Amino acid sequence: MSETTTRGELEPDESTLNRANDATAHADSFWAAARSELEGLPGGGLNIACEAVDRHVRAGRGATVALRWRGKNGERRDFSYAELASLSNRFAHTLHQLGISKGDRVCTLAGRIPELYIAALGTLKAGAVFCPLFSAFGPEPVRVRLSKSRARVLVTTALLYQRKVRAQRVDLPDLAHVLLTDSGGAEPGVHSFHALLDAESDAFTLPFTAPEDWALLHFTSGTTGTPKGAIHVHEAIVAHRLSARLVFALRPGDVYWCTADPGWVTGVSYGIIAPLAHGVTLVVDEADFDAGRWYALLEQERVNVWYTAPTAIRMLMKGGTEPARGYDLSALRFAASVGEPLNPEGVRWGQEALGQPFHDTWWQTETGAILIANRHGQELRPGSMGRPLPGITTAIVRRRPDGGIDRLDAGEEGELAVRVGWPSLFRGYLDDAERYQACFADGWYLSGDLATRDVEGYYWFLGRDDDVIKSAGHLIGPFEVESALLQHPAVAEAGMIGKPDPFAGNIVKVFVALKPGYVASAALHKELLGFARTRLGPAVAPRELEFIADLPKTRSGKIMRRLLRNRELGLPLGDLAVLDTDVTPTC
Amino acid sequence: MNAPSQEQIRETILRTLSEVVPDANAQTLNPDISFHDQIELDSIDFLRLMMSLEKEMNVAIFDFDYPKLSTLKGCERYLVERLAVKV
Repeated sequence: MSETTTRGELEPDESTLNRANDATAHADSFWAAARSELEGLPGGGLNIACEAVDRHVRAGRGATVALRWRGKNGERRDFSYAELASLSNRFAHTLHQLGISKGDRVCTLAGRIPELYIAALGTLKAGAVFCPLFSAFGPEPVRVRLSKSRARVLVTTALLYQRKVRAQRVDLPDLAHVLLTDSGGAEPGVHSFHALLDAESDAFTLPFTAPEDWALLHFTSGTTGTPKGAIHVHEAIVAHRLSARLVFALRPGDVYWCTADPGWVTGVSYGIIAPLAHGVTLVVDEADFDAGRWYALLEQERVNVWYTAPTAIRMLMKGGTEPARGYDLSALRFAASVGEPLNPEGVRWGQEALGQPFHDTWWQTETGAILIANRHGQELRPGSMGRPLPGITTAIVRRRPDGGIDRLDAGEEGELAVRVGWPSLFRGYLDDAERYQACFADGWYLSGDLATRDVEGYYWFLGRDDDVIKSAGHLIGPFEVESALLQHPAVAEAGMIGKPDPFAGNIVKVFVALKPGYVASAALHKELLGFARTRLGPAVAPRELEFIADLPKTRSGKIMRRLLRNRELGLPLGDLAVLDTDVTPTC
Repeated sequence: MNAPSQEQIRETILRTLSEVVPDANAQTLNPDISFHDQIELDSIDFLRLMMSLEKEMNVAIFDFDYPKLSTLKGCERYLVERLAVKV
């Protein structure tokens, strides 16, 4: 057997969903059944926000707490489904008043504040496309994403606007409106978020959105070129919703906490859409990681299902299991992890400290939803990614020179591929059909992740087949980092690698070759790190820098980052015959 | 062995902070406002700051005490107390 499809472990529609035997037909009928659980719009339409919020209000569950917001300074505010419906309606009205129409991009650049959630849902209701930007991005990544998305509206705070956007507006001709969540509009094209919403009605008639209409735009990084904008459609909610039930066993009445920031795909798919689609109470914590605060929050909010990330788990592990035992975590029914592989020690630590092991899950920005997981009710294999979800067919493959793929057997190492056909598969990279097409072969999506599958169908992550890295669970591409450093007059060449870090998984490290006339020094070292950080922000900036005489390159001039990494880790350098420079460090 | 003075502790904190956050102007920090609210600092940065201070000052900072060190003044106060106990 060269591929894996998990079948027949569903609830509550087992009889419907298990009817077909053929994998493709099975997947089709499976997803059709999952789709039929949604309310939809008249005329065959579908809208994520309608499924996530409005349908619960119509079903008489409007008083249920949808969003429980905990502010970083101790504030606490509940938003019922009815309130969230009204506020998102007001935001949708606001967008229409501002002339925003179907398909226009609306970006957010904010921490985990209630306005972000209102903007996300209101954008979807208005038929526009929601594009979140991580608030820890510096001005450069923000400008690139606002520009590439051709954002018409940005929702942000006065501080973030001043720090990261204001000076760049001249380079952003499409950005017509900035809505500040904590300030009035002091200049043309800048408005008060709340003043605009206050002027609008609670009632809103959703425009027709088809299942294939664009809904979400998430930027992600590759080895080359600027970040790619992965497009997702309203149909994606079918997978968001079902996967949350299959993996987490999420059910109405649950209190659910996803620690991921909505500036990234997890914080939207599983930090907004999936939990609300199940009508649960979503806990949102504005504050950054703080072990004591997190345990207290799990206890006080009686969290039933918790979705977090290896970096946070490792930071909790640093304090040992003892602190957790001081809290009543008996409400916790399921804990899961995403962002990068979680090692077996992390999985087991969860059991010891929290009373629940962490279940690792695998997916990507492009897949839109969890595809492989150690899921609820299944045997957990610590250190593995888990098995494919029902409706998902996966395989380990090798690309052939002719563009096709060969499927490999259990135990063989290769690229993880997923048979095309699930609802949350991305529909394109914005303005980049070529890079989109390169992700597919013979009807399979090629993930770029290297893995193996064992004989029982569990997948085991090995690494990436390109030069992107995961730092604190965030995908970072070398182009963005190296380009920022190359703007400094002293820098001739820069090469980025991921350097293993006990907490972040990897940190960004850069090797820099200086231009003639510049001398490596401690002062220049600090200046370059500061220079990169000012432009890139803490989420992307290098935390280490090393001067090197020349970067190792192939004869065609491509930087061999892997060689830099091997040298950093003391690994064999491999075949150097293709090199045209040495790798001697200068200090 | 004498405990370092408050001045020395402050200098060490500011030097360590400028190594972790090299684009921050540590000299203009308001000592009563959290680092997070004044400079771009994420969770990994803050952890690195705490661990660097432990190493520089040769003192253990307990994870649950991290919030006490969220401001410059809090850092100073905590480290002065810890170092006094140590001596």
